[in-house]
Amino acid sequence: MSFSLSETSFDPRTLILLSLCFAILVISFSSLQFLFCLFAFSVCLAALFKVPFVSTMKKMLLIDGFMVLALLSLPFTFASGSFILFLGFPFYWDGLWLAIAILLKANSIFLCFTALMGRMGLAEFAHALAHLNVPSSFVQILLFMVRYIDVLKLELQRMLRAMKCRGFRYSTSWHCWKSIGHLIGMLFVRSIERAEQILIAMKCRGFTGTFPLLHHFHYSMKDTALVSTFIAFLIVFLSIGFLLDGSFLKGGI
Amino acid sequence: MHIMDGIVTSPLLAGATIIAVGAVGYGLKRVAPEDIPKIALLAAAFFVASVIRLPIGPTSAHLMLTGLLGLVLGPAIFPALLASLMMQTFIFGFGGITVLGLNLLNMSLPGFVAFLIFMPLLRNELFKEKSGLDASQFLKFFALSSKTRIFIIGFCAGSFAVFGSLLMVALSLALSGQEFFAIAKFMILANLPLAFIEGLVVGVIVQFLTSLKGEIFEVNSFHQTRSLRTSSELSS
Amino acid sequence: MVDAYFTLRSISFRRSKQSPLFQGLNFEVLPNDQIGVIGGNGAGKTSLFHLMMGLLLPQAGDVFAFGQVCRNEKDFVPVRSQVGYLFQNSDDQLFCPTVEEDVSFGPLNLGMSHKEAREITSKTLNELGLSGFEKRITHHLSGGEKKLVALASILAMNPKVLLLDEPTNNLDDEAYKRLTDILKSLNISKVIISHDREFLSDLTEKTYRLEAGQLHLE
Repeated sequence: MSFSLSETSFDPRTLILLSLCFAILVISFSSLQFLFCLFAFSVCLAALFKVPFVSTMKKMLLIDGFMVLALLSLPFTFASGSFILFLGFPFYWDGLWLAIAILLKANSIFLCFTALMGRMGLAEFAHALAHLNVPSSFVQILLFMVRYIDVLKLELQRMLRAMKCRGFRYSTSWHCWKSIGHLIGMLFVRSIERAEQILIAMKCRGFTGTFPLLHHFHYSMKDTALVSTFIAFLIVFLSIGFLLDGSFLKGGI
Repeated sequence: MHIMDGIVTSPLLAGATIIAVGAVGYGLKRVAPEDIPKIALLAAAFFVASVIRLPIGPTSAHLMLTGLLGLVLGPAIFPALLASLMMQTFIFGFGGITVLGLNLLNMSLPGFVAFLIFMPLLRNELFKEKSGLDASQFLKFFALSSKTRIFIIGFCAGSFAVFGSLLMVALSLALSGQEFFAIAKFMILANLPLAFIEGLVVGVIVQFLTSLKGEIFEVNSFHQTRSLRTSSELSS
Repeated sequence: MVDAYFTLRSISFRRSKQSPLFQGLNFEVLPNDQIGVIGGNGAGKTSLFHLMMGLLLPQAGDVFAFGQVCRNEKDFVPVRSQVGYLFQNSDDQLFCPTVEEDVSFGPLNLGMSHKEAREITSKTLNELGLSGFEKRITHHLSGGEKKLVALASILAMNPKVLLLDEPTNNLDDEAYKRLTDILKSLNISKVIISHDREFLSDLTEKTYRLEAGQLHLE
């Protein structure tokens, strides 16, 4: 019997809570040997759930790119413990370990979420939140956003096109900033007017203040299986961390 | 200006998350069901508009627009921004899920404070309401036209929010360890021009909104009383 | 050949993952041409304009504008200031608070001073019978007025060619007549997309039908 994790549908609530717990677990560790094991765990998870390799790597590099400046500066700003001179600047080992720890944490969390929730649609996610007792008004905000973000994006694109057709180009000038101000102002006005129309349409269809939700989810044996396997493997990976002597990672160099 | 996973210490994260949950709850309480589409669409517009990259000399920067969002939404800025940040995490791949609460506070609190400070001034300008704060009298002293005064209020709200967010992000980093001081300082300095230009753009937008649809800024005043009415209607 | 304002040569275009919109499409706009374009919904009439303005780039074929081959965004920048493109939806086009700011937006982009832009604005508005509209709030105008202001905003850039995308949509009889009269009086090349046969026969000399990715002379 062929069985693929990526094609099995789990209860989205399970996936959300599981990812969240993993994230909290990851940030509560600070020693490198555990973080390495947790990273290895999330890599395995991503492989098991058949995360698309190229696009995931791209996103990961994007996230790491954001942090690279901060991380590169850490070994020079840590200012305690042993150091070597690097181009005349003190280079602190502890700063380097901290930078690596941050990198491992961020990437482990990212991989775990991509594995578990990468295939979940935003609408499904919002519905799952509603069934996790998140206030329905907030869920409605999310659902409306899901519905209208692309509409507004197209609207903005059309307006920008019209501006380009009249010779507009980005520049560092008052004219450019003012035009962008008008553009965003117009986007806001149109959004509000669209919202007014939506409200009217809702009232015409009998809206009285409560939002009915159609989706319902079912917690099944599959979910129990997922959670227990997840925890079991997590324990295995963490025990490897215990067995590894931290000093071989840190002091060896 | 988002903080990523793994940098901030756990106690700070926990504290920020609790406060953020409280703020979102407070914001949602102030919202009547009829306002939901408006809040959602404004959050969506904010999300879409923040993609625009504005050139500043040789570099370019995204607009934050939180000051503007604060003026337009009032307390509803908390749920609106949370929804927007969630969309962002979802679309751009889950960076910063554990720092969601802290990032939300860093972005929305200055916007909300901008609302508290500058909204009375703006209302005073638009609807000639008498309010406790009356700095516009001070501006009138310089014989500025109403349009200019509105621009100045918008400018202050816009750059105040950006500057406030910068300070809060820097503070979050500084509280996580002194090794982050250098980054925090660099970040503030690098973003100061943005705070200024954001002020200019938000000034233009506020002027634009008041001339086209001044009633936008009425919303907050009436829905504070109206939401109380609806909740009492519901309970009776 | 060199005289043509626009020459589109064997253009092929498809949106990602969709069936091809244009296949080997040829089109030419000469000085003083008055051309009508008709075609069913989704035939690609608006996309044709977008290709001419460089808002979309073809996968194959060449777009020549004013004698220059245009292959990328940069090539099209000077083209856009010589072509007036009237959008189907005026609301997409008008985004400034007042009529004056909107009409002067184009001239300012061309690098004119504020004084020159203001003069051109009031001159253009006068010509279209919109004098006194300068301080009006664009958003509050009627549909017909918006269309005329949008027209003014592109005429203010003194274009050589007008691309009009369904200009008569949603206009009442009076606005329709006003627009027709103004367009007739303009001595510029025009390409007009419309479903309105009467309007086209009134204003244009030849009509093309856009069908199956190609233009056919009617």
